[in-house]
Amino acid sequence: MDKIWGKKPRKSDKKKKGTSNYAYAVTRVRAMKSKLLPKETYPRLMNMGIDEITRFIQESEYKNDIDELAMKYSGADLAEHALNRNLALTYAKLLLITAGEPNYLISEYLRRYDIWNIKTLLRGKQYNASEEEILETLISAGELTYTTLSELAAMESYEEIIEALNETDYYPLLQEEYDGTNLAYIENELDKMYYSGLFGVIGKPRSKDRKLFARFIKLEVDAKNMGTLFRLKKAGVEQLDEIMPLMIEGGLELNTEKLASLPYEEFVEALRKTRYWDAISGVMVPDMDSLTGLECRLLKFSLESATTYSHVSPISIVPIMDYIIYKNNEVNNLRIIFRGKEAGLEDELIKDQLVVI
Amino acid sequence: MSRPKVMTRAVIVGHKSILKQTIEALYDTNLFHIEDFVEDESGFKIDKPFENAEDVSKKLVKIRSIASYLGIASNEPVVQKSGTVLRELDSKLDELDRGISDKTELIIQLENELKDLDSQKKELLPFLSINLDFDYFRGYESINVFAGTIKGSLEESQVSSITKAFELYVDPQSKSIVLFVAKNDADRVYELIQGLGFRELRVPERGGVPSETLRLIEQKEAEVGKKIESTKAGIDSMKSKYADFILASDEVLSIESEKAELPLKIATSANAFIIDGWTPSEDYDTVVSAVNSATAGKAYISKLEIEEEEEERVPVEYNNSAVVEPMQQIMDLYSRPKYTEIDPSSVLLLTFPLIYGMILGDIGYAIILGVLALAVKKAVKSEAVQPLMNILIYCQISTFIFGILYGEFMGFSLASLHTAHGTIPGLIPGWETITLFPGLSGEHVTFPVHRTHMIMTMIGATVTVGLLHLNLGFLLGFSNIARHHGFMHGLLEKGSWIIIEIGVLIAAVGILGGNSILTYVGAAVFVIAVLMLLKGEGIQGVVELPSLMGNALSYSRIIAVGLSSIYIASTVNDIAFEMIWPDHSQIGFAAIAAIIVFILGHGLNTVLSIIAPGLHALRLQYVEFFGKFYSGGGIIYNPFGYIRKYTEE
Amino acid sequence: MVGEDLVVAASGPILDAAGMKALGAALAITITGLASAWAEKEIGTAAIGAMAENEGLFGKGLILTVIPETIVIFGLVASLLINSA
Repeated sequence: MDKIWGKKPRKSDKKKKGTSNYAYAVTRVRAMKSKLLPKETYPRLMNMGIDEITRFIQESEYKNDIDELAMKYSGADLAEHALNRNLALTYAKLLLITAGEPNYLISEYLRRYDIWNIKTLLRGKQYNASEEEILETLISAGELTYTTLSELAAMESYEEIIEALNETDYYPLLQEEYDGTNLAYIENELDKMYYSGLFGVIGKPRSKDRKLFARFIKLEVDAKNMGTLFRLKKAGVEQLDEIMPLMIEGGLELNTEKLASLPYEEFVEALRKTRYWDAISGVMVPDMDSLTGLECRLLKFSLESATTYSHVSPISIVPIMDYIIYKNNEVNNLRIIFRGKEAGLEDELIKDQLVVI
Repeated sequence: MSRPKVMTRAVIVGHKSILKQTIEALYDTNLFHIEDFVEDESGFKIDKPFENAEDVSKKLVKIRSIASYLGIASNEPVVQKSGTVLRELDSKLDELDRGISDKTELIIQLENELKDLDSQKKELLPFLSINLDFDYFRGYESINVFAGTIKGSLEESQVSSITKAFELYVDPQSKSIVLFVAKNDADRVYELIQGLGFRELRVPERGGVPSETLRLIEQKEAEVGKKIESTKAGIDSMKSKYADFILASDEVLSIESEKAELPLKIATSANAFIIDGWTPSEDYDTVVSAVNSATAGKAYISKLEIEEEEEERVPVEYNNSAVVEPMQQIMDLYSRPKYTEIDPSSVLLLTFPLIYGMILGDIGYAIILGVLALAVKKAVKSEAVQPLMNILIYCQISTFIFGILYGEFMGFSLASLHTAHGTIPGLIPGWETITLFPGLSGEHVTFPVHRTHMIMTMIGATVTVGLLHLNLGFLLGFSNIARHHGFMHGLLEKGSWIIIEIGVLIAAVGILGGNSILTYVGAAVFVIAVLMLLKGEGIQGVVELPSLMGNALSYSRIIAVGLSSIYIASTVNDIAFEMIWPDHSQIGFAAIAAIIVFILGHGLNTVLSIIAPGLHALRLQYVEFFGKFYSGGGIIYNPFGYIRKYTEE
Repeated sequence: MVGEDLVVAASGPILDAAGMKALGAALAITITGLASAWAEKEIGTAAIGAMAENEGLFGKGLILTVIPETIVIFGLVASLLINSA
């Protein structure tokens, strides 16, 4: 297993542009997208049990993952591991079938999984999660391989983990700032670091590809900031200097500084003028009790706009990015179903969390 | 020219208490294509699967995972009773699962052991030629031991200038040193070796002389390696022992799970179910009686009229004779016909081998490929390969006939040919080429046809074949449209193309024959037909007019690809028999070399002879011919049921 | 210097009518060959990308890939016509 997991395509040269084989990569990615579960499947999955769903996805693109892991795990554990493995390998495959610029941009984008994994490891150690529980949540789609990650998960304390990460870019931050308790702050800093790194990579976008890629990321930043703002406003946080450190820079449309200073009602009113309003207006009831609805709507909006962009610019990085987030969404949906079923949640509750397009 | 099987839409309604029996009955008939129900406003919902679904799925996941781990592929089926399989399933699966996990765990353990031994070995190697017992390296009070590697070289004299109390062992090859020094001088000595890039090596904890220890380790390695081998062999033997069981139980469980999950695809209410689907009309009665007898007549089955907008959703099953059946592969490679369309499989039976034969047209290759196809057909019983071999055989029959027409055998001409530059002898003495009538641009049409000497005529001939082929397409298109939208629509959309060609033909005859009335008539017919096309297909149709010429000229590839095949073959012949072995009376090294070249060259050309004519003939069907009438995209008829291979009731 | 030698050596016209014809025919087939090769390369890589994921697309991929081949067939016809004229 190490052989597949351990092999990560190398970061390719930033300047290498001529070798991007778009015709091949984009059609292949489109064919991959056509194999994602269609929306008609979800009601059926909702009616199945965990083992049935596992069998169902074993009959689709997840075959190798289930086959490989079914000897070791069973039930929801099996599903969880298979989903993570599949996501990681799918993204690794994207790196294999692309070259040049798209390859570079994708591998930079996928660093988010390194961030995710580091967060998971730290959180796991803080709350004394078992090694097995941590392993279940790791997704080795970034630069850190599965082997490395499982070694990290086996370590006793967060200090050891941070020490083991001493060759990564995240080391200075973790080593200087993390004291074992300020996890929320560190997580936010890691996010900010990821996005500023990504914008640094894009630089001043000249090529059409980088422009579209940048737009893609900016949209994501907006969605993320909006979620944070809602959470803070609802919690009654009004102080600008408390809010602003949590904002990620580089969004597409939202003026975070202005929005942060508004009280809740005016903040909602201000959102009315943005492109996001149509997408989120349905859940804008006065006493919004959970943010799940909002987050689903925003995710749906970004999925839909990705598809729109990829029609505008069919042979570019966009259809590949489009696939990346759709695939992620599929795995998320399946994970929600599996976890919901395992926890014995009601169907309606599970359904509300799914983003099905 | 056949149409897909006529389908009947049937709806089965009943109380949930008879759902299981209904499903069993439908599954056994294997004749009912179920339309998946999508939840809508009607209030009906899909139901939960039967209770056993979860358990069956769990076992299936396990079995399939084991099958893929063992690398079990479908083989010659050994048919078992499904009842027996089910009864033994749990215990056997358990046994299998335990057996495999025990063995894989053992392998992992052994492999770790191997890794461990390997790292022990690596630790040992630098000390090998020094060969001091490791027990000597420790346990001193007044002596320091430096064991490690250095970059440069270390002479005794360098150490002795510091202290006399030392002992030095050096292995010049691996640059490792072991240095025993009195504790008092150790610091200064350490400085010295530090300057030489000293890096300390870990001294293995176990005692013993390195060479002896190495021998032991290697012995152990061999033992562990052997154990791994035998465990792997054990897994292999499990594979052969359980293969039939795995295949059979996969089949039985798949059937169970398909049945158990049908409620996910049908509309149900609190008490009732509705199964909506399609069955070939000829089998409708079979389905009805099967369901009735299973449910004691408690299920209501009714036929529904197929409405026009539903025709797109009717599943399509071919309706062809056994001779035509292989051509369905070519159809499915493109796309299944729609329910409302003509299924052109039987037309392809003629046109595909015809064009293939026209391209290749060589008796020798026809025989080689024909025999090859027959042999493969006999040897490989796979359902995927059989139809392909049949198609290849059809093609070789046509190739053989054209081979006689062209008088070609492996690139040699069979008949002699008189040209302006003298007579070119043929392979068969006495077969003279007969000149029949003049062809295009000063060429003569002969029998047998010498393709290389009448290229322009052949271009004309192939384009004519193309026009005939295209018009056949227009006729089929006409028939498709006329059937559903009336004669006028068919005439305007497809018939107009044929009339356009007639107009051009009349005008051309008029111009060539100097008959201006005929020219005007032709022009008038042309203009009227273009107006018809404008009405039928709109401006798009008119814009596409020039493509007709492009399509027709595209058929000249028949001669072009054919020529390339001839030239390759005759070049091989020339190299073999004119250049390498010019003196045919002398049999020796040259003769053998010539035969090798001959076989290799023609071997290559034989492979090309499947690919090039095949692809080009296929393309002419798909692009030029189908473009005129075929749309495809029908839903494949996939009845609820299963054809058992490994089990029986 | 070398150039002068060449001019001297080529006392007659470099290409006579037959040569021009042959050159024309050669160009007709070369250029169209290159053109369809280039077009097929683009479509072919795309088709292989799609087929790698879904073998069922073989038929459609094949058709799309060979469509530009008509270009070189026309080139061939043109060059044969030039030669026989």
